[in-house]
Amino acid sequence: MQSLKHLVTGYIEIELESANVERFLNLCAKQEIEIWNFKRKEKRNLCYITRDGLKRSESLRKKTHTNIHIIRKAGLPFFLCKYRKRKLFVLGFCLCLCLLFGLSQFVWEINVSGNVSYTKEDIIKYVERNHVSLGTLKMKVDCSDLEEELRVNYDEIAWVSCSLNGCRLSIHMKETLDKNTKNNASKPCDLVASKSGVITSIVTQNGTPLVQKGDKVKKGDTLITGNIYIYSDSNEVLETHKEIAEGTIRAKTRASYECSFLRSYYKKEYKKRKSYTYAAYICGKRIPLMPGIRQTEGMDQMTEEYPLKIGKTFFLPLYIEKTTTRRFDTVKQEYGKQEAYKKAQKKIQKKIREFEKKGMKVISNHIEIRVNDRKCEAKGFFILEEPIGKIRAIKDLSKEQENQLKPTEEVTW
Amino acid sequence: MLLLSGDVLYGDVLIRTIGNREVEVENFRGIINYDDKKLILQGKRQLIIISGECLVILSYMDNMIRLQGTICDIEFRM
Repeated sequence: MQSLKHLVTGYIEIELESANVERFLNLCAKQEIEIWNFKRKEKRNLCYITRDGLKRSESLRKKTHTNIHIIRKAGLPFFLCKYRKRKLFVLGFCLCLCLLFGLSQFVWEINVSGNVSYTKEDIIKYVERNHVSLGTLKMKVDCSDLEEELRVNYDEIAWVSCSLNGCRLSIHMKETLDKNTKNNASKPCDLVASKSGVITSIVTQNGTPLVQKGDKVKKGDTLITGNIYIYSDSNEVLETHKEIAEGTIRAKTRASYECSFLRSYYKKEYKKRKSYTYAAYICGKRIPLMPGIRQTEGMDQMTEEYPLKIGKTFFLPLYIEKTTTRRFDTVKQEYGKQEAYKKAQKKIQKKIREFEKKGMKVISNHIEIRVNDRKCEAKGFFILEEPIGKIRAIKDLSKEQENQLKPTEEVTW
Repeated sequence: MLLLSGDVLYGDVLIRTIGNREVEVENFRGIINYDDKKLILQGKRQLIIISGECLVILSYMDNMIRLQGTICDIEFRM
């Protein structure tokens, strides 16, 4: 820190010549003149002194009969003094600062995070087309307006926040992935079966249950009705309340599965040699830095973009594009019988993992894998346990269902 | 009774060493003699003689001095 201060204020390396250097040093210390790195080297007294200190030590120098020889001057004031005639350099430096300041007033990068079902490119394209294109003045960007627009245009966005960090517009969002939130109704409704199956558990939070554990249900059957009946002593309906039916119903269902693939396939065998080509993007315009390679058959190309930035957030309107080209030969190969069987099994396992991710439980699978000379086939079905409740506008019950709900015994007081 | 340290009560010198590479001395009156092997300081009641090799005065402000080098000996002489 101290050395930084010395660099900014300027310092001088000096040589002292005196019969009594110690006296000069003592007087300087009393006058609070900063002297550092004092050393005696081959009868020479070398030290550093501040620019201001050198001026103030003039009287002390005379008093102690000390001669001061300047060896070296360093620091910002001396640097500026040395190059004071280089006006173009100063002009260029000032222009550079102005340019940096000017460029930092624009948006050069849009970043999207938290998206799941919508792609990053889709959102960036929408934002660039309708609200903030690259190179927009930061002061013109209204983040709350953009948030509102995104919420209106993308139904699945539950929460979105936009902020400007340096030259980057960050969009952070949360999507309504929770299926239950979609099932939230505001009007009275029934819960119906979304699939056919056998009920394994039913927990009613609101409404009247029409099925119980072990019942077979078909797709569309009412499971919990939003109608709540109030009966009189003579078992006649006095009042009917319409409510939002709520509850958790799980059922054993059946999901068929079919998958087949050919035993012969083509594999890419990449050659060791890779070719690289570079291009620059300046304000959206592509400028090739070297001749490009046209993609033909038997060739894979991968393009990477590197944005240039100063620090973490100051993005410049400049990208470097790197294209890697790899050549390959296609080789025909064939899965062995065991190999094909294992691949089919892997696909089944993957399907099971997908079911589990969706909140379904796989009770058993009845899939047969057949491998013949040409292809491998897997066919069968899974037995699953899954939630099957789905909301539907409230419907009146049939006579049969009403009779089923009627109390069988008279209430005796 | 107040427990005051020696430097406040009697004007004793304060010496702090960092290994044998650096010495900081406070509360002294001035430098009497200096060369790259020896530094003699004037305390209130005694002389402080610091001897060593390649001694360099890192800083000297008011009544505090920082000395760097290979310190061999610190001596008090009345």
